[in-house]
Amino acid sequence: MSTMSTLRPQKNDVEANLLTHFLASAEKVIIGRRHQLQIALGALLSGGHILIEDLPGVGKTTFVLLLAKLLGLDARRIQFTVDLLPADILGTMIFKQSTHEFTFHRGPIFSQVIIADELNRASPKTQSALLQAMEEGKISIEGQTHDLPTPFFVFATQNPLQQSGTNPLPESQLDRFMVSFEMGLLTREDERRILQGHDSKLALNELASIFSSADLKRWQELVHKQKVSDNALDYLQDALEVLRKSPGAQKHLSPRAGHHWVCMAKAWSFLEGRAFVLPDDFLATAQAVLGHRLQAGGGQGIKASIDELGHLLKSVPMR
Amino acid sequence: MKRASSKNLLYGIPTRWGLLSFALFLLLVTVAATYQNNLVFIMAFLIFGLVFPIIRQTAKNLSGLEVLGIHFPPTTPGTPAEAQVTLKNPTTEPLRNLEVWIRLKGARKVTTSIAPGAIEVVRIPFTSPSQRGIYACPRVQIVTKNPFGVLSVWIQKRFDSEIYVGPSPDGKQSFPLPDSISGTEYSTHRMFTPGDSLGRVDWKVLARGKGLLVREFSSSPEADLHFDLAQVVSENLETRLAQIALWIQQAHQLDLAYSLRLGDLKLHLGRGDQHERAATVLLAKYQSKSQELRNPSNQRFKFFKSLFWNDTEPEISLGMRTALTTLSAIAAMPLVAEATGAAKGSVLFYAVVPLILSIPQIRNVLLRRYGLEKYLSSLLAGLGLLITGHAFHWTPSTESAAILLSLMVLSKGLELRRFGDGIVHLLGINLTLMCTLLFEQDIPRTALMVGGVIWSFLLLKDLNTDRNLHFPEASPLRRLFQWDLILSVPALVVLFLFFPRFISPFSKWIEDRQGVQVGFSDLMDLSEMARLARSQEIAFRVEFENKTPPSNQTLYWRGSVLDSSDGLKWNPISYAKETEVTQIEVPTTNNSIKYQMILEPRFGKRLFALETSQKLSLPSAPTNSMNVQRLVHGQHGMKFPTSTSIRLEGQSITTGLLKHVGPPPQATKIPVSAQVSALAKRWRAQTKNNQEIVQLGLDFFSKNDFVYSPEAAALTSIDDFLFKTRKGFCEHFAATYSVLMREAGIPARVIAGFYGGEWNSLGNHLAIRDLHAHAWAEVWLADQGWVRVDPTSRVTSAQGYFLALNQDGQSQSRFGLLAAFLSLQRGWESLDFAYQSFLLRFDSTEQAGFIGALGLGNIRKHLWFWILGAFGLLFGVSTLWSAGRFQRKNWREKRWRKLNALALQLGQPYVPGEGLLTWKLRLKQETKAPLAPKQREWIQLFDEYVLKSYQ
Repeated sequence: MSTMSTLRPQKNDVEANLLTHFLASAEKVIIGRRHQLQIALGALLSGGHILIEDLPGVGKTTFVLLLAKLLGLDARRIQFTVDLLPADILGTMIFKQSTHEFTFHRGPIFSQVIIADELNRASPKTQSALLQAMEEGKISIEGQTHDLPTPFFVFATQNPLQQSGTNPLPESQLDRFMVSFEMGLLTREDERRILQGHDSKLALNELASIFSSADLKRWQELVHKQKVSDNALDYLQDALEVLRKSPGAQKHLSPRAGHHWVCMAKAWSFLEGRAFVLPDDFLATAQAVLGHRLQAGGGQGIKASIDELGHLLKSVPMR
Repeated sequence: MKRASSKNLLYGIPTRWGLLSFALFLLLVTVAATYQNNLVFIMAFLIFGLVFPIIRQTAKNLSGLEVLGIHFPPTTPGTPAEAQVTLKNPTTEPLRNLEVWIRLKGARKVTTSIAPGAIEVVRIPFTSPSQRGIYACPRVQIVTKNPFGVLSVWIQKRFDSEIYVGPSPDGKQSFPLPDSISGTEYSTHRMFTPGDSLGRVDWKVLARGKGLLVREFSSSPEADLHFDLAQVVSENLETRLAQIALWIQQAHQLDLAYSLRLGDLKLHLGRGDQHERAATVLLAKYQSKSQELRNPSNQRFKFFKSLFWNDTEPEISLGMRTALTTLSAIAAMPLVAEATGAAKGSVLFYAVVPLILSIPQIRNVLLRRYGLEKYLSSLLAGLGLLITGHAFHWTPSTESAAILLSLMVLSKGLELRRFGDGIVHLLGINLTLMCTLLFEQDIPRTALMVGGVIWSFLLLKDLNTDRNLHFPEASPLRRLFQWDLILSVPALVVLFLFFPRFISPFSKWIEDRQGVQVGFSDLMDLSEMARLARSQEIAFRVEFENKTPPSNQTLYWRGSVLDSSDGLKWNPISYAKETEVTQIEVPTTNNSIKYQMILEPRFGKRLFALETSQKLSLPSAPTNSMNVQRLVHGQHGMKFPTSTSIRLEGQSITTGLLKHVGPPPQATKIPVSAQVSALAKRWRAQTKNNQEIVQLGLDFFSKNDFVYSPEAAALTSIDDFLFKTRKGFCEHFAATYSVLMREAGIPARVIAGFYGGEWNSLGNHLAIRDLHAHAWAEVWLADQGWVRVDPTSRVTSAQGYFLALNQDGQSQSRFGLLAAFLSLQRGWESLDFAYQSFLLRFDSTEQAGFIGALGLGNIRKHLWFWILGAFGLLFGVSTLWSAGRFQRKNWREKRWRKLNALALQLGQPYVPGEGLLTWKLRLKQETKAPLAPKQREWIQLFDEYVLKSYQ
């Protein structure tokens, strides 16, 4: 994949070919989606949350379960519905008669990976229950703070907003997701293979974990140490400024967006087998990091802002 | 002028103020040539040299700018629209006052400034084209005149952005209601606003007479609209599109989601501002091709006008006004000092008034409060005219004109309002500085000139800088110390060396100046002696070839011959008579003394030469001695009055005398009293020998207790002097002696000139001051011709004076502080002398010699060739320089340019928005076969670039 083979630093075999290993295993379950896998893996390596947007039936849930399984993380799924309450996610205080005390009954959020399925179907109140968890890795209930397991990831899926019965996610929540992407349409060949009877559920069950959460932790540290030169940061800041000042982009790009972008670029360059970040890494991850943040009012979803983004990035001076 | 940069091609043209400054330069050159004044030449070249820092700094304000792109929100025909230009300042300095132009109908220029590292979106309003369609983006032009306002520099860029002009919403067909809308429950009514769909109007309510109300639906996301061109029935495509545009407008106002289909062009379901824009783009695109817009000609005219003219010029701040007035006062100082006598006081007072009035506090109280501001400067100007006229007795002269000019410039300082006033004022200040150089050329004035020019340069920069922009300013010291100024030095040197010193045709217009204030006047009136004796001014300085002065007794500097007299007043031989050359036999001898003489400008024609002079001329070339003519009896004079310091070469012998061939002159008797006549008769009776009578006359002075006194009154009566007071100075002795000799029948006359001099051991030169003015007598002896006789030297009390005259200035006083002061003074004078002789040495002769030595031919023969050549050379150098060849670029930029150039050769230029590695991959994959050497070179350079920049 890397075109900079001469620039590849010497690492151990697995790390040097991490992406290849990962993709090879993933391919057994999911057909196509290489780019999405790389983005998702990048987000995991830099400790970010992921938002997946697409229509039902394109394999969002399988995608997330696969990621969790490959990395040896335990995953729990919460199906968001209109009537779901915050307590259903976080947990509740329950009166224990034997001890005459309230004890905390942990909700499904106490898990390394949360699959928040169809997040935008829930009421805003319930959506916001995830806020603190996503940012700080803890939750507070009735004055008590409970630590969540580490690593802690939220994989949210959402339906396109034109679909009936959805509540758009507030900006504050959108901003907490490091990346977002669409599953997208399959190529004709890939779709043919599914039609030929490829059973991803079965394949997922048969698949064994190839990495552990300890591996993940080590890689996260390595990603953190990736070198970002001043020149690369210059490019990043130029891009942010162009995007902020460009006409039509009414949304505020927070400093957190920039931070997420750097983290993603680091992870991307790590996966590409490079020890330093190039503007290419920003370009490759721009869509994933900024897509959901640049959504214009009216909420046509990620898609509409992508074209705009590609056009704007053309005017960022590259050197 | 063009300058290629990595991105922008710069064009430059001087503004009207630039042209005015160039006119000042031309004026200076003309004046310098007219007065043959090297310092004015230097000033002109210094001003010309400032063009280079000006070009550099103005270009710098634009060359770094990156125009990232231009965006046109889709619009409808003939409506106000807006172009959005995105600019980036990648430099570390703010870019100030950039005017952004687009040649579109109704477009206005927009002025902006960009902070270091910032990106700025400039919005330019314009009127959109009157036809639906796609239009190519016209040229974007960005002009800057910052920071000097004398040079306009601009870049122009084309972009592939397009202007989408959709149809104007119009139509009669009703809004196609979405399928589901009829089934949705409406929750409330609201008032009808234009643009609402008619389908939503509650007609039943209207029928009940309750007004035009619109049904609001509780939730409408399900109400999706699908617009299709096929839905509209009409012959005309434009009408159909207009109908759809109207629908889209209505749907947008209702915040309904809609999709659009125009033939092959499709837009998916959506809503919101961006969606509406996308729809308008489709409407504009449908069945139309990109076309060029015709440039409105008035826009082109406006643009070119703006290069010369500024419609709004920044105002001058109070502090700036004070600085300008102060500079003009300093520039005027030497000229004000030039005015003498009672006039000096009034001129000085006048000069101080504008200065005081320019102090902000006084100005505010006095002028603003009482509304005097409007009339004050004209009032002051009139007063200045009166005072100058009075001071110079209403006689126009160079001096009075110069003082008038400086006073006018000073009073002009009170009406500084806008940038243009400031620039005119600065030009006036420079003219004042030039005028001071016409009267004297010494180190202080030169320093004043250089300082003044550079100060005006700095003020000019401050004048144009918009202080309202809150950019961090460079520290005052850094602003003052500008490396750019060094750029003006090469131009100064080249022009000084190569610019031909032609004699201006105006030279002959300089009037013969009367009323000399220092030194001898051309009248050589002996009564001037008393005044001169009190003056320390240097008349001229002499450098001897063998570095040592000749002996004391021989230092007679001959000036003028006075041969007609009424007994008291002696008159010089008229010029007409003097120029009649009589034959003079110059003894040939080897012990000639050669010397160089620097004459202070005295506006006289009289020249002085060491007695007995063999030759006195402007150096070497005979063609150039046209301004020096030799008069009879070893006297010399100029054809034109000397207005600048002049260097002369002289050769004299101090031993032996000139032999005059021809008949002896007549000893014209002068009417005298009987007592005087008797004295002369007594001598004549004693001896027949003229030589002895000469001696008897001298003995008369030495034996009769005559007293030498410089303070004595002017000669009013020969009898009183000879027989009563017996107190006088050289004038008395020389004049009465000559009268006595003539009475005794010996031809005699008075010679006026200088005697002695002050030896400066630091500079090895002899300074002859006004106080060295002296008069002596000459008598005709048959076989010797005219013989010098100095009766003053026979007066006993004058001996000390004669001895002291020729001493080194330092030995005159040996007392501590005074000695130190005197030695400082000598040191300064010798520095001044060296400086002047260096500057003056480079006259047309020296220049011809210099160019001849370079083997470049005769400068006089090809005068215009040299003038044009000097400018051509400068222009060539400046073009090369400004083409960026001499500019340092950082490694990354250089390498990036190289990579781009090489990639272009390989047919794979960088595409904006693409990643670096993508570029490399593309370039690599061009050929599957083994890589070409050029490709390999590119890849090597590329890898190095990437590693160095990002690792």
